[in-house]
Amino acid sequence: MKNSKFISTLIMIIFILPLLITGCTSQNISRQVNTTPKPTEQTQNTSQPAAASANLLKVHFIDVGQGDAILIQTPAGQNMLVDAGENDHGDMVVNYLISQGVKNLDIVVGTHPHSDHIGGLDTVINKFPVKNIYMPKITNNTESFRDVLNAVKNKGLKISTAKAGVVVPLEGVSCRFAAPVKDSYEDLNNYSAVIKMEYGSQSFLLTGDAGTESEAQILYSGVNLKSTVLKVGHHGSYSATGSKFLNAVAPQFAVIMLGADNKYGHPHTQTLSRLSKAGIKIYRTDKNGTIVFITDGKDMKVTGGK
Amino acid sequence: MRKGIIDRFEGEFAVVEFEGAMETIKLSDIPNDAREGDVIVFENNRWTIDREDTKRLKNETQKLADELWE
Repeated sequence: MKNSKFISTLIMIIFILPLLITGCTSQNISRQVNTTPKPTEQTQNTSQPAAASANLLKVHFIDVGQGDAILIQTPAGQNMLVDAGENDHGDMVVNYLISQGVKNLDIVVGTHPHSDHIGGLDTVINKFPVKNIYMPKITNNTESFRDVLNAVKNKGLKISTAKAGVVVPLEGVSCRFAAPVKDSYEDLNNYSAVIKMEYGSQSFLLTGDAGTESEAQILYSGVNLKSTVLKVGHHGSYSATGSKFLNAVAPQFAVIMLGADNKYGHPHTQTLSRLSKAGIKIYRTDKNGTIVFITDGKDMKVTGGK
Repeated sequence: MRKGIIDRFEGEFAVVEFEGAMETIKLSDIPNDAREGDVIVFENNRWTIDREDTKRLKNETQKLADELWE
């Protein structure tokens, strides 16, 4: 009797315990991989938004490594995507949008024709019905860029020019381009479509890779830059986020979108110290993963995926 | 012979597209007058700008853009 009990206990240890452990491990992994932020889960039915969350604006800074991809979900249930990361992140962006209940995109913005911003856009455009596409009026010679144009062409869509003063047609949220101010620049980064979005007392400034030349022109244009959240220009490079510009935006929160251990040295220490000295709370996609800001127009909540 | 298209410059690197995949090349290894969108070719152990192919791609892309922009 004693022996058989010992054997059955042994069998349990050998066969059942590993199953339990494996089960736990795979659950942990799926939890890490799934970047879906919990608080946003109720609002995915865009045709009938849940009453409790119908008045919320959500801005998702999606972790696509070294690159930008930003999803905006408005209180009226509209979806807007700003950039879609590198070529090889297109599928990841598509999956994230699906996980957030996106079935169609009202607005797509390609901030400027560099692969770390527009690379994945063709995959997104091929996947979802799209209403309006905005890009600055400038081309690049890469396949990555022509792929985006061909995706737009194959869908029978047109591209509207993103430039200072153009209003983005969203309901219940004020959204307009603050840049590019001029028609011609030496550097493609300065063509970046810069977006100012306001909802109640809360606001966002999304700057693409706009550098100090564009920042100076935006300041000179007299547009109200003051924003609750600043998407820091050009992955935290010293080429953007000049002192005067930062003083005018005066954000509470800054988001830097970049890949860990990138070889460009982003974010640069000048930018980080400038933000820190101004007392701005910094979020980084390389450290925090996907970061989601949720506001009812009065208060701001922030969730990080990592 | 390798042929790529300069997508952009990041600090001391050019980010160059080779058949859709991005690679970095040190700025000191490519011609000083290279610009975004230039086609560069590696031959005889050095990078040079292929002006003709750059112009061909620019025209091709501009033609496509002209069809699509409102």
